[in-house]
Amino acid sequence: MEILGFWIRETSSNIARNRLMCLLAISTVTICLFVLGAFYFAWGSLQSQIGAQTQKIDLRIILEPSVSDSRRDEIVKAAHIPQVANVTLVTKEEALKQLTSDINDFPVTDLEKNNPLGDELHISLKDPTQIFKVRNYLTSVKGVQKTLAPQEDNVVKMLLEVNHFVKVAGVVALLILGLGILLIIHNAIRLTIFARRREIRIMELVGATPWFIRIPFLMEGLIYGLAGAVIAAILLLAVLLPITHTNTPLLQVLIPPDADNILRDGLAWIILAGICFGFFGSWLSLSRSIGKAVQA
Amino acid sequence: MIKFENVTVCYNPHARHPDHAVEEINLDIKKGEWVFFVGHSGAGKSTLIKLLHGNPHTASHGIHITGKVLLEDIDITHLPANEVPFLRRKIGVIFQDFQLLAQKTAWENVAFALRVIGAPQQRIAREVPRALETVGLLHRAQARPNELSGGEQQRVAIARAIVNEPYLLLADEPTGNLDPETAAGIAAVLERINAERGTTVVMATHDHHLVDTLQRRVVRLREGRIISDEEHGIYHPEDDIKPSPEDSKSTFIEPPAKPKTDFGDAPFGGESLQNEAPLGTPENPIPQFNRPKG
Repeated sequence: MEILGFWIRETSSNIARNRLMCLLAISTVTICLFVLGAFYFAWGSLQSQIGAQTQKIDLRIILEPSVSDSRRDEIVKAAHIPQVANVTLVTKEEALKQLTSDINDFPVTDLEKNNPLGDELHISLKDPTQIFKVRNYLTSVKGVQKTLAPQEDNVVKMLLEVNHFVKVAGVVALLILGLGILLIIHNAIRLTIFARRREIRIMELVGATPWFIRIPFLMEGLIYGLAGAVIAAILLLAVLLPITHTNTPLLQVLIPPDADNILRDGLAWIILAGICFGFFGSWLSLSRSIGKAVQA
Repeated sequence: MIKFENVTVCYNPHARHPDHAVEEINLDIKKGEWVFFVGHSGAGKSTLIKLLHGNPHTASHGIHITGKVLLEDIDITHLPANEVPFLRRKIGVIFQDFQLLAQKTAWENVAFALRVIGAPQQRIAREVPRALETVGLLHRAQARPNELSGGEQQRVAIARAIVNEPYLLLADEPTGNLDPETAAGIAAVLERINAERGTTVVMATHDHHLVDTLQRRVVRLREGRIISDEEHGIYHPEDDIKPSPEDSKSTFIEPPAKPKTDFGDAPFGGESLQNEAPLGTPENPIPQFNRPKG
């Protein structure tokens, strides 16, 4: 407990002495994580919308009528790829039965002997954005006559394109803003280390272990990351919560029904990202800066 | 207790002209002994002190060490980095520039040495006043370094060095920044620690007043080699400038004459040592110390 108390006092003292840099670091982390959080929400909403669209239309794979039972089983096995959640086989007999029940006066006597329908596979996907990839794959399988394209192909295609754009933009933003966060925290900790080089040197002289010396600086980085993340999360909540519960028709179309879940996940990710960036930002400074500062 | 076995320290070993800081040092220091390392700048005194303190630079690639330095039968020359902090907890160290934390009081400066090794509060509350009392500064415990004189600051540094009850106290030019009177006071404090606590004291110094007054063991170094080791020695700095006849084998080259400055030949400023009257004369009396009995 005494050691923890010492670390907390040292960390608070570090922050108090480095107020301006602390303010700069926290505000930079806040801005960057706010933008990243907004990207996450946009991407999550789009994913959800695409999911809602594509889930309406499971893929239907029509097999050639001449396909043997063994080949049919092989195709069913081949359809179990990682992107596929479930494969349901509808045999041509079942398909005919369905047809006759749908159309009461359908002449089935002849067709039972010579069924023109093929077996069908109904496929549901784990990730709806993979719909075109799975369709292309299954079309290429020998024995497959055709895949029934979803009627909403164009809508799905458009959503996927936008989703792809948001994803790429999000990754680029993550890289640039993440680097910014790391650099600002790294710099803040480096300045603190330089300001406290005398204490660090004395700690080394009297036998403090390297970890004992480093922990207050890691804690300082964590505080910068966490404080920035919490402020960014509060700002995002303040901005997005009214949007997710809006009655405006246009926004209701854009915002998915599970927007609250997306927002909740997004906030959790922001806090986690803040902690990680804070930790690694200060970690980057420690090994090199401490040695340099002590020798300075 | 301390044993140097054929120790050579070489800086930049891969350079065209490697710099041998110390060469073939063989030395035995007993528990509770007081040893002065004397010699001119660059003679190797501080290198020996650093070696004893497990200085991190000794583990770097720019330094090559051969031989052994045994401290309590443990070879500390090649001690793994993670064991160095634990070695240092048994060794107190003081420097010429005191190395105190300006924003902390004397009490906090001393307590800092215990806090950073995770000592419990009860121990800190017990040991810090004891250490401050040993150096005679308990009444100044709440003063910050800028409110203390140079001598008092060095006493705080000594209190910090002894608060963890080390068995070895290293002092690198501890009186270099102090006037002779204050230096005598510091020496008296160190003598008391040596006598009462049985702490071994190893001091690197240029201060011949101190060496001559205390008349303890004196190890004289020149060009990284031990040239004399006397049980009750004195120190003549001028001997380091002119090679003595017994050093005929030494490759020592006489340095060019120093330009005359206002500071004379005093190592870190202050009065000229060359113009002083001989020690023990009425013009330059021997400072009084509390010598331990026996």
